[in-house]
Amino acid sequence: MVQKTALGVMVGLVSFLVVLPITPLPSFLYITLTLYFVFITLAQSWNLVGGYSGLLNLGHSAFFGVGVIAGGLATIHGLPIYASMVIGGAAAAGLGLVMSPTFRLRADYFAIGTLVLPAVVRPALENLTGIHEIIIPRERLLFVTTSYYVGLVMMLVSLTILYLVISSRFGVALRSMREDEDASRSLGVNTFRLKLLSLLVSGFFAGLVGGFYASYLGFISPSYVFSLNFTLTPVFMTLLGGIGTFLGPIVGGLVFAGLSQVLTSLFPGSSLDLLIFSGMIIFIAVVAPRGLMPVVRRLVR
Amino acid sequence: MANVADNLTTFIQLLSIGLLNGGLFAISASGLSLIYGVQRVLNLAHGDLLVLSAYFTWLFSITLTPLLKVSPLLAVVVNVAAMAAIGSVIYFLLIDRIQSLGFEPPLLATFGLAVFLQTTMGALWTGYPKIAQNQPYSTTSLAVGSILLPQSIVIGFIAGVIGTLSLHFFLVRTYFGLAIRASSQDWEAAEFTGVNVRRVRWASFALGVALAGVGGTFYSVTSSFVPVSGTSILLILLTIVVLGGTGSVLGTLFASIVVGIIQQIGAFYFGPEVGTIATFLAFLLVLLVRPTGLFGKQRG
Repeated sequence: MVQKTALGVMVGLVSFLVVLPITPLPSFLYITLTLYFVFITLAQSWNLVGGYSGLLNLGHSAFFGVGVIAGGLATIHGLPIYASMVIGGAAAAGLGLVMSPTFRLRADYFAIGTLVLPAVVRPALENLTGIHEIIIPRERLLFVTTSYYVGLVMMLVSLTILYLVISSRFGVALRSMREDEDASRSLGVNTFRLKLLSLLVSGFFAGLVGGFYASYLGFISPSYVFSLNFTLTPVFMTLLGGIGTFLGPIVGGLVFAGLSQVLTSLFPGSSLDLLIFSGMIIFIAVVAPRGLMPVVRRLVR
Repeated sequence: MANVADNLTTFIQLLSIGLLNGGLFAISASGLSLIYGVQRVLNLAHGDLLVLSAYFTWLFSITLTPLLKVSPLLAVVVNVAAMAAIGSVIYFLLIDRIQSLGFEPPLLATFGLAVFLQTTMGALWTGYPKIAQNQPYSTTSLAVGSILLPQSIVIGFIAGVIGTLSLHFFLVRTYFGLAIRASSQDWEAAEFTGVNVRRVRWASFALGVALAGVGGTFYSVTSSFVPVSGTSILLILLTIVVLGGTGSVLGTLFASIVVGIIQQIGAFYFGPEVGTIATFLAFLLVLLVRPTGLFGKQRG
């Protein structure tokens, strides 16, 4: 019953988003909506590792940033947007492969290792490639409506694939590993391979989003795309909605989008929104560690 | 021949500055290590608490210093008290409620706290870099042969080493130190032998944050800082804690000095960013080869 309602709401929401551009709304609205497509996809990609595998990845911006750089370079060299996105995803998945030795670490050390990751990867990339900014040439930039639809397609395809991944046997294996890793291992499950695969998939989608974001923004400085913002916001959205649930990042993303729009229009130019969001992270961690979804579910019943 | 001598002098100069800087890190890093060792809570706001006390020192240096003609370093007294109080508030409002829920909730709570502190400091004191003017120390250097050592860094080093060694002897020689070590090894067993584990955890959290206050005081007279400096400081402190191994104060001191030297030498010979990359690579390598750190004790 609840699932049918959720499906109905989803279909309604998607058709609304598809037909929205026929209305004469100001273009900044579409630009803002596209940004939320970026963040919701990023949040769901984080959720696969952070929520389902139980590996607290505090360096998601490194995967995103690698995707932005690789995808941006591909776009500059003339590749179409979808190809650039896939290249961004592949590059970020490569970073996941490099990270694989850290799975031997205890869970809290994995969190520390990933926290340091953006601070290693960004200067390493900048020094190796000599790139300190990426400017997408004007003729390769997307129009607002095109960018909106590409972003929407990216979000829908990524969410669908991630949903299939989560509900597959692989997803079940991830959850059982999260609940009790030793028990999984004693049943003959190769937990190293599970963790690696989940990080590869998660990294791929973070990089895919990055590859899109390069063309969305047009001008990229690595220190921006590797910044804490691109870890903090997805993690916050996921926590808000409920970590380790498929609807969590989506509901959390919608609540976040609404909240931040209200806050920025009420207090333009101030950092009050960050203050409130950080306060909410603390509040969620202390009072509602399972996020808003259990509360919503209780209300639906 | 003269060239070789010059190079050698430069190298020794870098080595000594690195060593001194490392000693300066040691005190804050041992605070982080203490908190992690006792409650298995990684305080992601540690760097920002350090920066907060650096701002307190800066405020002290522009108000009380010209008024009373005292060194801004005296702010260390204020900072220790203020940070112990703030640490206690954080402990009872956040950590105490959630540390039994596993490692994730405290990590997220202190992550939120870190962003909260950065935003608040940004709103209060703008993003413009600050440094606590510390006449006459800031401008004078000690000359050892042809090697120059800025006096403020030397004072920070001495304070760092004395503070770290006092912490070591406090943990090893006193009854309360014993209780702290017992609680960090097996809190249930400690509870059975009559240790008030909750009080130990509170005291060690407050002490750990107060040590960040000491570190922040000396940091503010040696380096300029902005509201978001805490993040990069935290990463350096984490590196030190992991390299040194949790539960080993002397290991932390040693690791601080190693990190200080790697940073100076890497930055001078290969560019400022390389110092950072080299430090973090060393960190990741040690993490992989010896997850308990160079001096850490094996845990079950």
